[in-house]
Amino acid sequence: MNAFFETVLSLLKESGFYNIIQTFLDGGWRTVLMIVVSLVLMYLAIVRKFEPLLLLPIAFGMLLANLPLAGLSSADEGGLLYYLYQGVKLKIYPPLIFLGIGVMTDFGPLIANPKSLLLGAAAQIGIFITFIGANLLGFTMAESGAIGIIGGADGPTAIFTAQALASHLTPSIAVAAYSYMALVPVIQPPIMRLLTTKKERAVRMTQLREVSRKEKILFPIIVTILVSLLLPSAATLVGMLMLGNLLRESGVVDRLAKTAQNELMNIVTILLGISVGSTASAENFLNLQTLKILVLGMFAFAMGTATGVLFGKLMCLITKGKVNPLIGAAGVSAVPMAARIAQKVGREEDPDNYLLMHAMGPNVAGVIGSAVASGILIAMLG
Amino acid sequence: MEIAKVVIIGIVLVFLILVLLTFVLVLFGRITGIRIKSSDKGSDKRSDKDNSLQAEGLPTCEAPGQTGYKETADDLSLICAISAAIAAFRESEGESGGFRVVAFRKTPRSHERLRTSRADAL
Repeated sequence: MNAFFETVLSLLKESGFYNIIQTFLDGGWRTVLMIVVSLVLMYLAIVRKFEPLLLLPIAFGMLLANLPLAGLSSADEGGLLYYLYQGVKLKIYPPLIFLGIGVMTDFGPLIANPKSLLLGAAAQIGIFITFIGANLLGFTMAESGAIGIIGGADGPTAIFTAQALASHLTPSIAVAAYSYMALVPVIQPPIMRLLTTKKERAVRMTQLREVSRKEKILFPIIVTILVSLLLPSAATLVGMLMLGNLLRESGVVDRLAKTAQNELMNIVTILLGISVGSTASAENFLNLQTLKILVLGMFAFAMGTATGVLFGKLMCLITKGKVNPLIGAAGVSAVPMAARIAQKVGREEDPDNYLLMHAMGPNVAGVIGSAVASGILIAMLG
Repeated sequence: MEIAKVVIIGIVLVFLILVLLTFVLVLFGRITGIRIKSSDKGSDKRSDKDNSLQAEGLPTCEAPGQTGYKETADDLSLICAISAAIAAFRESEGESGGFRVVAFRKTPRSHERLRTSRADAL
């Protein structure tokens, strides 16, 4: 009988519960808090539908990484998540996600109105303003660059850049980037209304021209050559984005295009999410730095939106009222949410004003712009 | 100082690359625009030639210039071909042999028609 109890006792002593209780005052509370944080993120993903495709696997990875004695954090060599994390560490997953995004993106509105590339560039100014803010808050140059990229509102780009510049900040940056992307409908409209007049918001834009198939096929090839030759450090993201788009527009590899945007994208999304989550151990995540990153992330989004809208106002002025400044806010990637917000805010002033296709131009330009900004930061700070 | 350098170079480079892309796209749009126009001219000639060849044994179809309406070459070819096919079919069925297309014009689309009729009503 004694042997039975001893066995049960030793099993209990090996359990996670015992570990938490035993170490609670000695830092174990942090593990409990991280489990609570992961549950909150799961709630946001499932109930509030905040970017559930990535937030849910991230939150679950966070939960697994913080279960005591399970050995499932990205740092636990030999564990499953350690191996899955190699895809993040070696920067494999984000470019594969970009491949899928490329297949799903129609660059037609951008080709029809090339000037919208400028709005995509203007919205990236927020990245560099946040870079200054992060540096003033005590982050190193490389860390500041990784935090600033949150302003690009592009999850894979943020993870890719963070991994290249400050891998220890990847979980906080990923959580901030995806959380704020989900909050675009809350963050952007007040800034858009604040910086524009009623008259500007009601500006109607002329219909876009039709884009030929030849143009759509040549676009990804030209962009890849041009950007990669000018900025080799941006070649990975831009190259994969454009490869995906070429698969779509060429029309001769439907099977590959379907695989890239469905099966491959879904598999990589699961692996990326769970791997990023697995890096969020209590030591990595529960600190003042994370709080600062969350604040700076919000600031980055707001700045990106503001600079996009202000540049839109400038274009409105130069073109004598032919550009609605609201579409500038769509320059912060977050495809297609930011474009939808431009459409929604525009229709509040004029219900018959259809800005969606016009906003899609800066929106997809923002994807290219943030990849370029990422390449610049990696080249200068990496 | 280092921060200012990164910020200025970063912003300038982002704009430079995207401005360059804008320039390339504008140029590209113009080139393809010119190509489309010139290929339209080519197809005009070809369709006129084709029509004259087809017209020998079939009911005639008035040339675009005679209608006074600007139509695209594709539309005209299609209208001519369909009209000629109907005429040939009716002839083969022994119906009136006097079917002859002398003129045609583009009718407004339904929503345009609706707008016109609304305007008329007002």
